[in-house]
Amino acid sequence: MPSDGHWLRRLAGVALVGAGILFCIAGHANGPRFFPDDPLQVDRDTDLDASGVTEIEDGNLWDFVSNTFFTPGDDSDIPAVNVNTIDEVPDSSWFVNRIGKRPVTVDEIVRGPDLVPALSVDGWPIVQGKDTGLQPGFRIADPTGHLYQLEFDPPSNPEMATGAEIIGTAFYHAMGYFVVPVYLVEVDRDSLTISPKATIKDITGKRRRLEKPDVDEVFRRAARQPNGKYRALAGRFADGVQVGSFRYAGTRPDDPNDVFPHEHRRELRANRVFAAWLNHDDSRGLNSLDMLEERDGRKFIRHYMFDFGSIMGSGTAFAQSHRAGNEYILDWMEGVKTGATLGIYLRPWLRVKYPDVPPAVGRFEGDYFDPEGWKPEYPNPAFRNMRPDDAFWGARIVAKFSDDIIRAVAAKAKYSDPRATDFIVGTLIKRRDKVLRTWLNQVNPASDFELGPDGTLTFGNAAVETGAATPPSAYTLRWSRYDNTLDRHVPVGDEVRVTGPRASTPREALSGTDYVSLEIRAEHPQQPRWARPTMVYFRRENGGWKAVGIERAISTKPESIRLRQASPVVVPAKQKKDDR
Amino acid sequence: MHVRRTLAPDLVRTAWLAMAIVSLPASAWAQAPQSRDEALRKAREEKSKQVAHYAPGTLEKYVLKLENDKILARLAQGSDKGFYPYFHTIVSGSGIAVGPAYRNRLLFGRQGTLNVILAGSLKKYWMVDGSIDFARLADNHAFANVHLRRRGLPQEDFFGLGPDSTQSDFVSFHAQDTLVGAFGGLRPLPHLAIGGGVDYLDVTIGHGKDRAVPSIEERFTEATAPGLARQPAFLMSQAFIDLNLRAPSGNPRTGGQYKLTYTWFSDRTFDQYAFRRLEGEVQQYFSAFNQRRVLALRARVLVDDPEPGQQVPFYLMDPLGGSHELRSFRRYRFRDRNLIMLQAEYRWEILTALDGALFYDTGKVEPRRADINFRDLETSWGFGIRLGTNQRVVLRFDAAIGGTGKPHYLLRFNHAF
Repeated sequence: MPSDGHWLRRLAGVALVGAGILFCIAGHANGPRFFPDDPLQVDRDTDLDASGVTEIEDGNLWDFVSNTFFTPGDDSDIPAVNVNTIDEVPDSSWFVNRIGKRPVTVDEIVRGPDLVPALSVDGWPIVQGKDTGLQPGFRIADPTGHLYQLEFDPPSNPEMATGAEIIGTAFYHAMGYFVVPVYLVEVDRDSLTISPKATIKDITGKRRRLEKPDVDEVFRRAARQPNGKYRALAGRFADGVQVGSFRYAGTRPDDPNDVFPHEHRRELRANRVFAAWLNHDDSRGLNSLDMLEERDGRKFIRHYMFDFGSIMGSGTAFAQSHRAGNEYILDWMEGVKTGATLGIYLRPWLRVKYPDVPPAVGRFEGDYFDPEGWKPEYPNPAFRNMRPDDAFWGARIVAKFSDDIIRAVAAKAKYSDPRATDFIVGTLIKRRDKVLRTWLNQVNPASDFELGPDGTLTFGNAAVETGAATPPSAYTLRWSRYDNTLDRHVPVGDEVRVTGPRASTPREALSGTDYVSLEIRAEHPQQPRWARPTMVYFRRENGGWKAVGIERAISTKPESIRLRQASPVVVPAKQKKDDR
Repeated sequence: MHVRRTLAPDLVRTAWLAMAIVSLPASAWAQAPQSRDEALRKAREEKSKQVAHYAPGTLEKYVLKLENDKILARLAQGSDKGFYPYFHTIVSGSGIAVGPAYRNRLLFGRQGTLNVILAGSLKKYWMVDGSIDFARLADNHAFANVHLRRRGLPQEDFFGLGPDSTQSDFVSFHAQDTLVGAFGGLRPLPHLAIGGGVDYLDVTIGHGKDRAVPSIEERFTEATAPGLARQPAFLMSQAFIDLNLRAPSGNPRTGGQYKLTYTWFSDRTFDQYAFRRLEGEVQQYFSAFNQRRVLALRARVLVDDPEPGQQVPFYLMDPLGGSHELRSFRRYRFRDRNLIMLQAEYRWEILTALDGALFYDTGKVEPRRADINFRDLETSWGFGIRLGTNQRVVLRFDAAIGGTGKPHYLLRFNHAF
């Protein structure tokens, strides 16, 4: 007869198994890995009413201090939190997929956010001074009362800052960001009028009446054309009410829609790729807009990228400094080395010889440029958190800007000296190619996976297709049937090796399952990181298969590819006092 | 005999599991979202229950106030019109003088600037200064200025005249001066100024107020310090030419400045102290590696030529020594009628806005013009740090050695040159 101990041990075993089952259910109480609407194409982050938001004050000095001497935001090495299951960014109030996702004509890219083909500001009165930024300018109003900001080039570099703004706006719009429309205009100083209600903030911060000497002071600092007129950039104020700018860390505590910490947003992390390409060293929260808009009786915030006067060779009021893009404003280690050696130690970028170019170019080059070493003016929390998968996403967008597109966008800047256009185009192409070679090869670049109804797998290689690398010697594939509820892979067959981007799926992998997973690696002697596995998930839909999940490993550790969770990818934001 | 396993560990394990299951949060058993969109909406709805206005931290508040109230900008360039606090030295060694000041940059359609300053320091130096300045007339082709200044300088240093004056003769004197005048000129070219001016200068010399050293009358006489016994009123007439190609002008890295000034001091009271002064100064800047390495050179020669039978008052002799020249020596260490000064400074950028510097100053004073040469020069050398922008140096620290053998530390709010 079994002893009491025997029965108790049996009971303990049953309890353990039961607890295990219960734990499995509890562990997925938030849902399966893939939902029916995966991959999400639109993040409806304007659905909740945000009318309670108030303006959040910001300043250059605080932005510099907080990012230079502190480390705002979370710096965990985690995947971007707002990507969908195929590692793409859904459309949202932050970003709309354009050139990266759908065919876009050159005309559309060049037009960018423009509402009209051309703009004339003749007869528009000056209504306000310009209190912020380096560029001289003032604000005017169109006949409907809509505000525009007029900005001029510095006398030392005519056409430089206005040209940079035109080009930067077109590029960032094409990438997918929200930007304000900007137009090149010609201003006749003598025909300007000042509205009797025009005001300007004086040095004490008080508003007073704007007078002719204030306007004269602006033109004193502006480049004048040979015909006596002034070339200017007219930037249309964004719709809505400005409630501050967004920061690259934390979330807005007053916006219910803002749940993804900004330092972990893919489109903000990957902005480092775009910023490096275009030398946008001024990529910081101050150069953004949070605009409170209203639609269907509900208010929400739309987030804009703003102010591209300091990109490429333009430093807005002067040519870009030699340090720009090469070093932070305060780089302690370089300072120690230079100080301790009495200046004998030379920062490498001090030796860069910039070519003799028209003043409209400023200071810009592509030979010394190193995408990975590129830095903005001071640390940016999202840039800091950029991972190889973020950079890969960004580089794929940069790859869409062909030589012809770059040439067409540069032409929009209407430089009077064709050498300026040619140099800018050539340099942007050179930098683009470096960006692609750097960041398309840091992960396995196999992409655009398709699984036909007959089980034929086809895919692309983002690095090969853009000329950033030569084809691999082979791809290795491992198929599994995938249980979406239990998050379990059941391997099918042996590992398969193919030499091209095409393969047949084992029949056993496709039968009796709604999900199939594929682990794919690439072999390339010069690209060791291609060996990092990418996991692809397909779901049976409408008689065929649809790719619903992509996970790119950024290291060779197997567990690194199982990072996605079934629950909404929301990292609770700690609302620290000096953080958002 | 059988081995009896204790049941306690099994039972304990099971009990812990049961407790864990029972204590699972209720949300673990709640309805799971059925779509990604729903999951995101739920997360946002959760947040909507906790929305709050943004509350900046203390440091952020202060920094934002500093910037958005334009406190730094107001300190740097001041408001166009209104009162402001004056915070600066009156002369080298006066200590920081503070006081109310008024500025109006809007005179005559912004052509003129009125400035009035009342200031005093803890060392009892004081100043009343008023001026109307027209810096950019006729589309920046002309300039003019009228001014009135009265100062009390109670502890001015004096060591005697000549290159061989000794530290042991260190005394102080009190000077009170009044200066009224005007100057103006033309800018035929953007960087070239040619002009002149007239000033009325009245100086009174008295008992020095520095208790650490004797007063001047205890060690010196009219013979050894001309102008000690009596001080005339002067009419000063001046002409100058100044070619300033330094770039940027406030913290130069390239270019140079070439200046020649001729001044006639006319004794209106005693006809005993009239003299003419010719002063020339050259600054030259050489830079390399995108202007991050700068060699700054400066040479200055000054010659005072008294009228026959007359003297140059000691208090109007241009001294050497102090925070700008011969930096290892006390201010005003050397005085005489003639002066030569040579300086070299190597500056290198350590960080943005922070430069290091190695410097070498050498010069002397002489009673006779013929002795102005490169022999027997006093020297000082050292290193320093400059904090500032491209346009100006706001803080300078120098450690200077030489001459006296003791290091001399200087903290100033301007460039050496």
